[in-house]
Amino acid sequence: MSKKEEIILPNGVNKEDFLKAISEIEKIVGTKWVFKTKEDLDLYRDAYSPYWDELEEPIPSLAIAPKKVEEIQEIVRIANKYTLPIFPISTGKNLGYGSSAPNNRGDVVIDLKRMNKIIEVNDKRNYCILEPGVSYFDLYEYCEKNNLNVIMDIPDPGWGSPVGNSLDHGWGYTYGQYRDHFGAHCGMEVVLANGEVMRTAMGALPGSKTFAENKYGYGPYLDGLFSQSNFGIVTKMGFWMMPKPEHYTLAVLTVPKRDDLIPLVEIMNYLEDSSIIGWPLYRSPLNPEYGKPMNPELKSYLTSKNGKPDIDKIQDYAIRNDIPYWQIDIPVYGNKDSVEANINYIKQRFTKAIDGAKVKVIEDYDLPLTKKQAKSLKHKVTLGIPNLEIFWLSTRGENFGPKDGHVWFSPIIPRDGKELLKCQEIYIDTFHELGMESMITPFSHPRTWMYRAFCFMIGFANSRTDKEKNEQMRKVYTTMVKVAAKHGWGDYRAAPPFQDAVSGVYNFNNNILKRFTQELKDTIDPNGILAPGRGGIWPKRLRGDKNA
Amino acid sequence: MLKNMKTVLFVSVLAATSLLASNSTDYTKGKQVFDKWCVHCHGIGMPATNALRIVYKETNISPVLEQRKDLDAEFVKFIVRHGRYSMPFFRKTEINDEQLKNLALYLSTKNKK
Ligand SMILES: Cc1cc2nc3c(=O)[nH]c(=O)nc-3n(C[C@H](O)[C@H](O)[C@H](O)COP(=O)(O)OP(=O)(O)OC[C@H]3O[C@@H](n4cnc5c(N)ncnc54)[C@H](O)[C@@H]3O)c2cc1C
Repeated sequence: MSKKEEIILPNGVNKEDFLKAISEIEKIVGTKWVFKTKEDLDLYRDAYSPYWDELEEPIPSLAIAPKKVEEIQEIVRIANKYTLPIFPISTGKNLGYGSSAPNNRGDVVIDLKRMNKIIEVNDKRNYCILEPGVSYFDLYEYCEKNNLNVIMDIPDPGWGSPVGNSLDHGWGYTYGQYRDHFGAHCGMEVVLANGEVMRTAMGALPGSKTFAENKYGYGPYLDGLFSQSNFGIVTKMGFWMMPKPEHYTLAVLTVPKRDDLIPLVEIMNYLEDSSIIGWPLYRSPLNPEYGKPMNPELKSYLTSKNGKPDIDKIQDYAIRNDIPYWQIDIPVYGNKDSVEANINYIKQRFTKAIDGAKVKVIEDYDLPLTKKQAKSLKHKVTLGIPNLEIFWLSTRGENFGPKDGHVWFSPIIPRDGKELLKCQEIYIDTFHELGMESMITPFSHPRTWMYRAFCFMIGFANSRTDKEKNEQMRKVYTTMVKVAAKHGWGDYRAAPPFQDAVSGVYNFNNNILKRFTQELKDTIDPNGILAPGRGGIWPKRLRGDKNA
Repeated sequence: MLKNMKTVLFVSVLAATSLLASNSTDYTKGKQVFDKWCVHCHGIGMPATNALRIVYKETNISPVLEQRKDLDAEFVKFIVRHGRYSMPFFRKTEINDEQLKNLALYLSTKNKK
């Protein structure tokens, strides 16, 4: 809130109506769960906002924390009465993509953290049904306490929720079909913009026994409408869970050359799509350990060819120093015999096809893991053990200060080695043209959690003290969106300030996708109260010339 | 007179005991908050601890919050509600004021006992 602003108002609502709406809402949820002081509302700011402390920063005018579906229905009715824009969050930990803040300054946050019932976990038919406020930590604790033989596929930070994460198309770290969190959901309950409650798929059949097991029921599949969008407030979701494997092995593959990536990816795709392996983590050992400086000789080659990288010299450096160019960690699940057989097969496939390829087993465990094994596991997320260890990537290193956070630029590119190398080149050229040190090198790796595609991500640092730095970052980000789109790469997810730009490049046939969703918006939510602008979908009253 | 003194003494012992008891349950609740929300980054070997190890390299201050002797309750509350660097601030639906008070009590008194 700027010093001059006495109180932030919701877009298009006058103070008198706003105060009336607040008092009606307080009667529904109780004053304790309606947050309206600056001190409380500041807790709903986006800690990683690219607009921190600027007028455009999306700070809510009000936050409401209902406990029951009926309360949400009432809130929605009041919102319609006063044209109050409301923005639902589940656990509100969407750091890098908006955190717990709304899309626009003044939108009212509906914080569903208190709706935290684990409705059911079934470890015979392998699913769960959850309310939005249930975090990955909560679910894991519940399963372990009750000795249930299932694991949930989780993202890196364990404090988010299956509901919130999947609704923003989040990803995890086991087998592909579970890693796609929205894809692994099954069944939804949603409060619509008119306050009615809808259940999708099997849930639409009263007394159905397969809410979280069959995704379609009968009729059109509507669930997709409620992700990265603004057509409803999701109040329950079912998810498919993975049975705990009996045995787990982590193998490490190394290859000596940059171009080895091309056959490597092809074999890895085969192994993944045949469910022989879980999530392959690609890295390059040429990158220094976090916090340590890069070897100065190697660093000099990043700019030694007219300001751009000298790939031959980098390759030569890797060979001379016996540093593998790529390293892939490969988790394998199953029973002891099947895992051993698969490991041998994996070894055979890579060593036959790539000169100098090596496969080494570094972890090999029967499940359940002992406490000590679980604690020392290299990639806890590959066995669904929630944690926050990933936050190393923004902390202070020996060589540099801490970051305030980051805003993810996350384009989807083909799962193809050649295309990745091309993508590196295009990004490096773009940084060069912008006159900046490139955040991408010829050994930057793809992110591989996205099933059947790569994501080639950049985490742009944001600042809570340096507005100029944020402005520069916003400029680079929007440039990158355009450059990527020119090459057929589009973001899978974006923080609120970039959602218009990102959705804007999905413009086949004169923006038909956007025009179609807007038509739906105008029909389903005629007052435009639900999360205006979320996913680039604006209601008529606020659309203006945004995407004429 | 003596009887009155005895009563006063008895009552105040009772009050002190219950104060201690309530402090000790608050303290235990504070530890629970720490274990739910803080330990994942501030436990031994975790990212915030590793970063603080660099900050306090030349001092005798421990990078592990639960081993700190100098933590002030108000400082703990401030950091939880304002964040620090990539640590975000926490909403009241996550850690409410009562829980925050207990957490601050736990961290500020743990090593002063
Ligand atoms: C260091 C770091 C690592 C990360 N790693 C990963 C990762 O491995 N995988 C990954 O997927 N993400 C990752 N993220 C991004 C993010 O932190 C997680 O995706 C997180 O789970 C999202 O927050 P949440 O689950 O609390 O969702 P929320 O913040 O609750 O929700 C996200 C969005 O979905 C919508 N929404 C939420 N609930 C509802 C509802 N009930 N009805 C309608 N709409 C709703 C809202 O628009 C909301 O803003 C990472 C972030 C950081 C900072």
